[in-house]
Amino acid sequence: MNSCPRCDKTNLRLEHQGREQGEVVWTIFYCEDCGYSFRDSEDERVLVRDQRRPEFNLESTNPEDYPFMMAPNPRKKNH
Amino acid sequence: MNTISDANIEGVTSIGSLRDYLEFLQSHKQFITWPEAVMPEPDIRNVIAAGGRDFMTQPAILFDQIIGYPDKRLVAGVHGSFANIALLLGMPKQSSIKSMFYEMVSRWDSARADLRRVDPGAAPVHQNRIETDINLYDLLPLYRINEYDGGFYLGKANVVSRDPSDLDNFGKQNVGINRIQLHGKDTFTLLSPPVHDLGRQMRIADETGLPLKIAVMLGNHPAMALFAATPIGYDESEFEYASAMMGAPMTLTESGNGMDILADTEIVIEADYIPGEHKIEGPFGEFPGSYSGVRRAPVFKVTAISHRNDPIFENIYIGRGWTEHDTLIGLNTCTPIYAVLKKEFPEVEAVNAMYQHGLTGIVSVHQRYGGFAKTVAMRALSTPHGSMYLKNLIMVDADVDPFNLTEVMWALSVKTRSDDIIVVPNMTGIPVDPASIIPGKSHKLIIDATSHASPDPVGVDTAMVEPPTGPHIDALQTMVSQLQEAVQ
Repeated sequence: MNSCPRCDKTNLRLEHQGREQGEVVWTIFYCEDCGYSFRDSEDERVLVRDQRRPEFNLESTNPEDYPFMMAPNPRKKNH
Repeated sequence: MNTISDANIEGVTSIGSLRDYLEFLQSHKQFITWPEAVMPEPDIRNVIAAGGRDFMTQPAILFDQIIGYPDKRLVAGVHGSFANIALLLGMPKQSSIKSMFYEMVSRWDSARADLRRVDPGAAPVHQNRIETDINLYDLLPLYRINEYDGGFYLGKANVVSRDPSDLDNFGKQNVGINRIQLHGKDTFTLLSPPVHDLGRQMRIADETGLPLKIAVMLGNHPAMALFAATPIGYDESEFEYASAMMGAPMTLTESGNGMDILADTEIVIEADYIPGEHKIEGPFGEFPGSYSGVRRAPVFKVTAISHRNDPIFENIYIGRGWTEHDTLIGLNTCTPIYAVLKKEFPEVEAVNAMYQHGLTGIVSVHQRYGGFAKTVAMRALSTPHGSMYLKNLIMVDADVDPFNLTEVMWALSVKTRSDDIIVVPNMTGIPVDPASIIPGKSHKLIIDATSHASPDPVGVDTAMVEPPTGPHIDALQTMVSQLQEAVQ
């Protein structure tokens, strides 16, 4: 895999490889830009950007474009 | 110890672990081992979702031939049917949902906990300890739960945490179920809304700079997940509730980072909250049957892992309902709302809040006077769970069974007036409600489908038909069925 199926960036990190009798049967990658992870044995509807449902692709990998689930709380003055 | 019910399935109170429960389920034909090799995707998702189509009787399913994960075991569907929940309550697996509701109600507040302790050195969970070269991918047979999830999720993690400003307070120690997305071999994001207990503890850690540690328990005594998902008070212990509601002892030990954990848990992941650090999280197919959006979520760093020999990873399928999420938390969503209402309004008969964790709820109540049901409805919307989750609330008379949707639809059809619908705008809601304009806020809808009562003048000349009921009619119904079966 050369690029992330979701954001199309190329900053992929190899996370883990599954093996059977010593042979690699699949590899998990993690996109350091958008946080997506995937296994290279998954369906093309997941792995191929053009075949994915477009609403699940990301155009931006800037975290500030996404809302906080839980925004950080400021430190209180006496702590 | 178990003096709390007439539940009569033998052996349930001697269950001490997930393994015990799976054996127990097997003896009742509610547990199977999948016989074929499976790929993590899409096979595991497909098998669990297919089994879950019958949410009344689905068995728990163990996978032990997962390609690429030799020697790893995964179980799903442990709470995936009402048959499994009934057995956990010590009831026949054909029990009706309504009878299970009243069984849980009878145990609520009426039973005492029996918590025991063993030293960590003697606890099965600590049979194996990993403190260096941590690799969650190597330990857990992961699979993508829904096709467009943003990654690999732990969907049934029981997370233990202490109040950072009150570490010795056992009651404030929380056990909750939070969704966890892996972001590396030793890193994950965890979602907890600010109103949940863990969200509150994260806020305390942010504001004070005090460290927040957690222990993620995977593969537990089945009562743990049931009560980790139950909305109880901030200073009430889920461990105590689990023990009391089961009428059985539960054995605790200590995690390496100072949390109380179940001694027989399959896997415990210890982690530190990293204040101020967030990663892009989601989407994730959630219990409303929709994907949550992409968010920034708080980050946790794994510090150690303990696990039993040959551990069983317990996970879930969740999505458009009903799924294991609904059977797991349906009844214990109803019970605490009922318990609060019943204390203040003895006229409340039953609560059915099983629809998407209570997004829709039905309350039956003896109507004392015109408008009374609306008063009860307002209180339901201010219960700890109702304030956030209850969105559509249907009020019916006490003689309408809220667990019988045919009766509920009858009440809606004949009792409601379109000018008597209440919408309370801009209240607290859940962040994953797909109908919310602002995630976390929603309108509350109250439909009063109770009988009109004085001083309301409507309906005074349209008395309701009272169909024949009672033991004699029940016996006649049985006789009709027997005669029908005997037809050649």
